[in-house]
Amino acid sequence: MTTTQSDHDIEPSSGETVSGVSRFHRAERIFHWLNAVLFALVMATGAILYVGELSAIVGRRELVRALHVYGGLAIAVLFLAAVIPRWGLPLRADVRRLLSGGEKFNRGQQVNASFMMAAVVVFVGTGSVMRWYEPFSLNWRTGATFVHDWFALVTLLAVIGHVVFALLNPDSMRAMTGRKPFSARSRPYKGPERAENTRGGSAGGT
Amino acid sequence: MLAYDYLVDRQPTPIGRRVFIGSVALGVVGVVFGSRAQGWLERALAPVLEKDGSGLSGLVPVGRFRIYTVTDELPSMPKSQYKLQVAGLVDAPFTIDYAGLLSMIPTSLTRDFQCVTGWRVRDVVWQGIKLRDLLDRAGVNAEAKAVRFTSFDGVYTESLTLRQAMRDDMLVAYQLEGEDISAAHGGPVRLYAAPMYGYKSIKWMDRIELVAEVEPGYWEKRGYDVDAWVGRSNGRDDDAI
Repeated sequence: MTTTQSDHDIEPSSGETVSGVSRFHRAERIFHWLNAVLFALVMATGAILYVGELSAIVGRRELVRALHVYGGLAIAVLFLAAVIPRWGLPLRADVRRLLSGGEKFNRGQQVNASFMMAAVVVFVGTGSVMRWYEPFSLNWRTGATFVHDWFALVTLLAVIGHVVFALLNPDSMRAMTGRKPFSARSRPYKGPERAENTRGGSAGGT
Repeated sequence: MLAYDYLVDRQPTPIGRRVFIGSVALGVVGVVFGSRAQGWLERALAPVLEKDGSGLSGLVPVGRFRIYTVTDELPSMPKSQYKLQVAGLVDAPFTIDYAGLLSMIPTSLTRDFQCVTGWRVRDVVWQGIKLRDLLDRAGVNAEAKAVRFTSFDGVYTESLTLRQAMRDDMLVAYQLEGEDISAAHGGPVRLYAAPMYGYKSIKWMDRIELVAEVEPGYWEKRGYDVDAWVGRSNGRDDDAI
């Protein structure tokens, strides 16, 4: 996959003609933006369900709840894309880099992405207890609600951080929009053998 | 150790895996012990939240009401227009207005408010009149076996058996936490069925009807138990909290 290649060629010119290295494979970019849309949906509907003032304005609780539950399940299904043999290959490679370290992602990115992956697991688990509550004791239902709420608060901060870092690093944005590869003026990922020079520089949005 | 790795630029420790496993573990522990943790946290945060004037503290996830409406818009009615009917299988049907309810002997109850899906608000103070006082005033007929409640939202209904309705912890409530019940919380007048899950406490109540048998209400038609004892219904047979 292009994400790991180190012997890329970068023309000293600028603009769209620059050939460079794609930080993320096309499958990853599609995954990322689908995930982003679904996250926006569950965060918006979650806020409506959670904040009484918003609930009162929006009403239609059954509809909002259905959007929230199925949006969340869609995220879980989307994560299963990682196990698709060919398509999931770049995803699996980057998940491994995020969880096990390595040079592609800085530590902030590793922490943020690993937390988000855990949060998806926790949200789907606790959300399922809240939605399909019958087999679970009252204390577990209350505990699941408690965890869902607190994780939502921390996740909101993580998402805000992610977006802020992305906006502060145009190269990272380009890496995820795929419109333009890394230009010569940016500090692209140069591979593990030269990592010590680039660790700060390759870092973008977490 | 982490700092040392950084200084010598070794292969950094896999922090991602720690965060992942740690977060999932925290989630699991939170589900099992969360209902207790919520109690500790509420007590610990209470002094801080009370002093916060920003209003943001209301968003902190400890002991929050969720606002449920079953219609598209939030039902609301000014107190001056509010009327509660007591009708059906009774000797003397009557209608009582908001001021009339206030003139009756008030009862206060402080209980946890428990939603069947899991959220819980501790030590909620309710004030109102006993449901049984209204029923006694109308004079319940012998053939009446159940009570049916209707909301002025036009959709929400609930039922109790007559025996349940006569309990001392069934309130026709007009105050919540020392304030008049807001439209969001089901005001001006709602039922507070203390020993049961929240969905039984019908909001925006405007009619109480004595009937021959229990009729499943709005939520019961959507799968919730009619006899909604906290802990002893909806899939479980636990001790009540």
